Amino acid sequence: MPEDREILDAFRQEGKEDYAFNLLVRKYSRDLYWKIRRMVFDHDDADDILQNTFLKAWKYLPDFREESRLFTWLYRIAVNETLNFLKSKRLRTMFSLTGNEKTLADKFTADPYFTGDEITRRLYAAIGKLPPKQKIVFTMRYFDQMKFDEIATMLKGTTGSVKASYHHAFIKIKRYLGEED
Amino acid sequence: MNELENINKSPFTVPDGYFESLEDRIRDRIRRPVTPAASLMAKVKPAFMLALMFGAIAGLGWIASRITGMLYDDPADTDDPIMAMIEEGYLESSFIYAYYDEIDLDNAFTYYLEDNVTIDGELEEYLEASLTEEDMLRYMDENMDN
Repeated sequence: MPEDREILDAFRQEGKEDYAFNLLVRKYSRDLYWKIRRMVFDHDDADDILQNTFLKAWKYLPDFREESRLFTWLYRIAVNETLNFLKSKRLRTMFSLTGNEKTLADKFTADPYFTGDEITRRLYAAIGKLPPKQKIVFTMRYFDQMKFDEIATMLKGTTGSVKASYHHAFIKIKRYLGEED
Repeated sequence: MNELENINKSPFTVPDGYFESLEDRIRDRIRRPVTPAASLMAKVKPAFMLALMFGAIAGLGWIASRITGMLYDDPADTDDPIMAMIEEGYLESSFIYAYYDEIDLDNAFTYYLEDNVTIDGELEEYLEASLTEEDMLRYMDENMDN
C-alpha cells in the first residue's frame, strides 16, 4: 500500500489527481466502510455515507494541512457524515406517519448481509436504540477500543462528556438486554 | 454483559464485488455535473421550507385565536344586536345564551328600554328627546285609531 506522502505528492502533481485519489480510495475505503457500517448497520446507508466521505475528501484534499494522518482526517469526515445521517434518520422516524413497525431485531433477521447469531443480533438491536452520539461513542470504544481522549478529539468534545456518553450507553444497553431476557 | 465478551464483532457482509467497484462509482459521482436548476433549488428550498413553516404556525395561531375568541372583534362590526349588547357589557352572556332562542330579536331594543327606563314620565321624556315631531306624527298616524 502506498504511503500517505506518496498519495499527497501525486495529488499535487498536475494530471495525477485522479490516480492519487484512486490510491486514497483503495487504501482506506475498507477500514472506513466497516467503521461506518457498525454505526448505521444497513449496507446501503453505509455505502452512501462512505461515498459522501470521499466526495468531501476530493473537494477539501487541496486544503489538507497534514496536521494529522490521512486516515484520521478521513475518519473525522466519516464520523461527521454518520452523525448527521443518524440525527436526520432519528428525526424522520419521529415524524414518520407510517410508524416504525419493524423492530431492528426483525430487520437484522431479514437482512441478507447480516450474519450474526442471536446474541449479536440482540446487542446490535440494543445499540440501535441509543441516541446518535451515544451510539457513535459506544461503537468507537467497544468495537474499536479507542481511547476516550481520541474519541473526544474525533468528536470535538471533552473527555469527560465522552466518558459520560459511554457510561449512559452502557447502562442503557445492559437494561435493553435485561428486558429481553 | 459477560456473554458479550465472546460476541462476533463483524456480523456484517457486503455484496460481491462491492469494494472492487467502489472507485468507479465514486469517480462517476465526482464527474457528475451539478445542474444549475438543481443547485438553485437546493439553495432556495431551505428558505422556502422555513417560510412555509412560519406561515403554517401563523395560520394555526390565527385559527386558534378565532376559536377561543381571543381575537379582538369590534362590536360595531356585528349585525346581531344581542351580540353587540353582550360585547358592550349591557347584557350577561350566560343569560342570553340560555334564553337566546326565546328572544324576539326584532323587539329586543324595546325590551331593553322597558327594563331600563321607568314609566313615570321618563319614557315620554326620552321619546320626546329622541324622536322628531315628524316621527311622532307618523307613529300616531300608523298606530292610533281615528
